[in-house]
Amino acid sequence: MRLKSIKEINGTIKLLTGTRIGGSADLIEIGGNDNPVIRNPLTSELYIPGSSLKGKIRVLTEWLEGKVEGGEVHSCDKNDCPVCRVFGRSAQNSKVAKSGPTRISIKDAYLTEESKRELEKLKNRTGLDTEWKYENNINRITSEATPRNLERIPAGIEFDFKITYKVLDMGDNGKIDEDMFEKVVLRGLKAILLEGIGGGTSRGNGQIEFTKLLVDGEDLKDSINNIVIG
Amino acid sequence: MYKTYLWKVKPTSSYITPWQSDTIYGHLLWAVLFLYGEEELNEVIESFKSYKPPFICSNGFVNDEFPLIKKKLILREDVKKISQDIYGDKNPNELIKTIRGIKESNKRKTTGFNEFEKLRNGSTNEELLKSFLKEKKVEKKGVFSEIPIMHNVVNRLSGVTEENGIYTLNEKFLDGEISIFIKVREDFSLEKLDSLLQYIELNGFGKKVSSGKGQIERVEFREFNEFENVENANGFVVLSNFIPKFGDYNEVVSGNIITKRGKTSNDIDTPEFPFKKPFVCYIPGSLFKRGDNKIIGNILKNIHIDSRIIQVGIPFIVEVKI
Repeated sequence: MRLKSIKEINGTIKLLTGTRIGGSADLIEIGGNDNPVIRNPLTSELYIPGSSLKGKIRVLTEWLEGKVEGGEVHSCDKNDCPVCRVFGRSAQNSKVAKSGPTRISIKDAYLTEESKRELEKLKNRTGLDTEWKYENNINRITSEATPRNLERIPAGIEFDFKITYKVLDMGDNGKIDEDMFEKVVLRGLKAILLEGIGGGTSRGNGQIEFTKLLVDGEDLKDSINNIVIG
Repeated sequence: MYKTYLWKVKPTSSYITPWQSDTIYGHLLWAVLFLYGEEELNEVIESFKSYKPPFICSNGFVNDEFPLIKKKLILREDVKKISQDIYGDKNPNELIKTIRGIKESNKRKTTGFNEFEKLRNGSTNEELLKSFLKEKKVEKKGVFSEIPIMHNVVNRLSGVTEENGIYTLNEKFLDGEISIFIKVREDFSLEKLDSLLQYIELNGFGKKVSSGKGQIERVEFREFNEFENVENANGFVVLSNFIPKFGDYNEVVSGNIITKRGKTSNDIDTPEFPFKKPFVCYIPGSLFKRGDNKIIGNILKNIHIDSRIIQVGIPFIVEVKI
């Protein structure tokens, strides 16, 4: 086994709709925000954790590859399983599969400088750098409303993100990994463009676009947009 | 002969795994395998086994804070004299102030580079304490926070969090820099070491790198000549996790130990059981009177059922005049 190359994807995600990646509420206040978004605890800046992006891409890839069975996270011991090879598998399966380390590494995505300024302006204007969206459940018989609030990152905000992908020569000159980069990683990126990220995507949250997408310096934004899923 | 280098990095995400030397050795050795192949890795491991390590790493130190060297405890009978030296012999309340100050000082685990160098060069803990009590100023740079972050596992069919699917990871957030000191054997290629470090910078450090934890960027990698030569040094302080072997030291002046149970990576055809046998090691700041050995530290073999796996306990040391 030897490392052949590391592919590097550098991009910018633009939120087309309010996006919600939940954090944890330290205290419950009357009239407070029960459903905050995740923030860096040192700077209070908004960010999109790599784990959220990776989780979403993995789920969609499992569906696309027909690996969803009981609802649990897919993990198997097949050496060339696209899901396990790219996103990782349990230690137990790993020792049987002998496919090497997890190929993908999705880093946390951070606000662009421009978006930091926009959020600062928003905070000066409204006191908040996010949107507090109020939703409610309506009882179908009594029409009684049960309201709730949740925090979202406003539409229009941009995050820089980075993904690295290891191509390992496992006696095949890295061919399987090269193929899986196209088949799994790029297709996975297209899938989140269609599906969205974070919570509440079925009701419109978390829709995104890539305003920049470079793979080893080459602009692949249009290529990703042209991928057809299904 | 070895030259000392400083590898300074800045975390660009939270990280989970602490920057301990044995983990750093592990990362470097994996990088050797990935970049240069198994033959080269075996050569490097053989160099460690024969106590001619190509590189010797320290732990990572946050924001240029070094472990506080403890040469001598402040004894109860010394307190009155220290109080008199600082405040004079006028007011008995000053004694209480001194005791409170000593308690505060005892909680310090780290010190700045200048104080560290003074202690290495013969200053006593009492002198340091007096200046601490007089000035009461401890410069802290950067901000560090360790908090549990919630994560969840989503059921693929229902799209909601699985039962028992919520878990927390203790993540460390640092607004600052981490310094790792590396002694490099003069015949070992610096370019090669640099490429290993670049691999770690690109891939990340510690647990959960595939989901963005442990991301770093390089601040600098340069030769470091700022550790002064100490005349009449008779001891050494370790800046790494240190597993001793016979003859490494004559006396433990002050030492703290931890028990570790190392884990192998599941990156390759690793064996049935991921955990190494538990072992005990000294942690950075432990101070010793020097023995006769040239290379300090031990390599533990048979630490795992797979005999290829070793534990590197060779520490980065600097001399101290005790």
